[in-house]
Amino acid sequence: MPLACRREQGISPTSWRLKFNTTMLRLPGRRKSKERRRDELLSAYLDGELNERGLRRLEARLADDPALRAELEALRQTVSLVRELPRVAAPRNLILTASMVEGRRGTQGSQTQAARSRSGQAPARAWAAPLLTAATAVASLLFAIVLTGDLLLGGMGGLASVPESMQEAQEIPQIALEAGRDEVGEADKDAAADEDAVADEGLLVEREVAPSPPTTGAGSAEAPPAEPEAAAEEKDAPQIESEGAVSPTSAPPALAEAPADALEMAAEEAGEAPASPVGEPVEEERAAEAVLQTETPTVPMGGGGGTEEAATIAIPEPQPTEVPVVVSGAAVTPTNALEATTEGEAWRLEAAPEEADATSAPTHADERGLARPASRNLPLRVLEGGLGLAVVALALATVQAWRMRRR
Amino acid sequence: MRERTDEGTLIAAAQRGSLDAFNELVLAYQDQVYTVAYRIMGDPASASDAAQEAFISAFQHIGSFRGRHPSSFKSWLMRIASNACYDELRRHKRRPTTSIESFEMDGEANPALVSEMELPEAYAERGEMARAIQAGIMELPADQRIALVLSDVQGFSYQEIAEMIDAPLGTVKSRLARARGKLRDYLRDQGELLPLDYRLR
Repeated sequence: MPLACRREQGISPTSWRLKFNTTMLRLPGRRKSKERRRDELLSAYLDGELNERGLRRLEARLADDPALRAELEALRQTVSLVRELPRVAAPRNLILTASMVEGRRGTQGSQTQAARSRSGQAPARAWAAPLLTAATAVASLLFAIVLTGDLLLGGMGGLASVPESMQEAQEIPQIALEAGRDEVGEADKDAAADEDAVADEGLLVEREVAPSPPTTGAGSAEAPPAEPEAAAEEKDAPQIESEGAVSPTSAPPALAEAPADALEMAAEEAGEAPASPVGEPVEEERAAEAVLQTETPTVPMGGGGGTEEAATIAIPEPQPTEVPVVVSGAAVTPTNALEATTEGEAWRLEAAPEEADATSAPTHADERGLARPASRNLPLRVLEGGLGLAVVALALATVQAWRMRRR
Repeated sequence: MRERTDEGTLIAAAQRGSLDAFNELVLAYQDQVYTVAYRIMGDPASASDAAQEAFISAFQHIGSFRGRHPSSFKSWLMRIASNACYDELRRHKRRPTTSIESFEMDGEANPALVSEMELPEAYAERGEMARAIQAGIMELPADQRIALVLSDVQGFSYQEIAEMIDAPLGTVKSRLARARGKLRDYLRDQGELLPLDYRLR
């Protein structure tokens, strides 16, 4: 029996297994539980823990059961022996030094005490979860407001001017354009970069040439467009210069916006069929910017039949700037738009005014009108993106805080 | 009374951060704490570690001690000590030391606690008996061992033990009863228990 008892005392998994097995066998299990119940009774008796009824019953049993008496006596002896064990002196002084405590400060002594400390910290941080929840709510609200406002404004501008489905595509470029244009600013006009100017002029020349063939239709259209064209050219020159200066100086923002600008310009042109007499200078500037800054990737614009399938579009996005398409009515417009996009705004500008007498005007007008909200879009998008990210981050932090709190 | 006041003052000072005041408390309780640790761990080295851990932990958490009366500090301290021992046991996951090992690392022989009136033979017998009992205690599983030590070595009540080990009263009673029963069986087998008849002589 003692051996069985000792086996039972083994490490947890073993003892569990043993107990389980013995219970299944029923025989040893029954013996154990009987012994255990008996010992519990005797133990309680020794500590005076039995109530009157229990006491009477046990004493009656003891009177009749010598074996039980023996067990009780043995148990009594054991308890006495343990109680009489000598106190053991600490082999060395256990007083603490500062280093002991400091080194351990912050670390929890035992696991249970660690748990206690953690629970102690919980109240201190109780405010974190609600605070984060509020912050998330505020951020979400701001995000929603910005998004709604953007959709409303952008939607109105885009939808109004663009008859085709290209609208959406155009909105982005428009915004970019606007932004780019704002970035470059009139200020840069002063700077004169010979090289750039030359390059630009070259471009300009090309541009001037290009639009001609594609020019369609109405002679009358040509006349007015011609003027704007000239004006555009003139503007181009200084623009180019300024842009030349601009490129190096306004680098990052400009560059960033260049593609966008190009897109926008293309979009604007295309989209703004109804067009408003947009300031050509404006367009030109943008075009110039786009040309200078976008430089890089050339996206052959499928779009309109324009011959110019211009080479350089530096427009990263495959904006169906084939949007050039859009211009209402003017067949050429698409082409022109294309051209402009590819070469830069200058093209477009020229093309637009060229083709459409009526269309170009409204186009410009539209462009201008559209440009404003469009140009507002880029920073707005950035803001939206930022807010969106902030909302996500705050939401995650809030969830974490609530989980910690529950612990 | 004076002693109690001193302890209260020391506790208050320790709660304000005074390590010196806390060390006074350490000196007052280290034997008790070490005894409990030794009875639970079974060898002096582990007992020292556990006792030291217990005191460090006690100082770190002294701010959370809310003692209504002096004896509650002892209970609070012993609770930390038994927890430290429990953690130490789990950390080492050692089997209880055998009787032979405990001979080599004997915590029983302790001149400081020997009564001047005791005869050498009695002292020797007492030492041997203590070693046998300690060996029997080490045969117990940790839960039962801790319950036995807190009750019969330190003298805590069922209720106090229940609070210290965070267990229900019934569990404490059950563990204690089983510990005593097993120890009785062990000692009886070892021949350490005197038969009923002999005691009457």
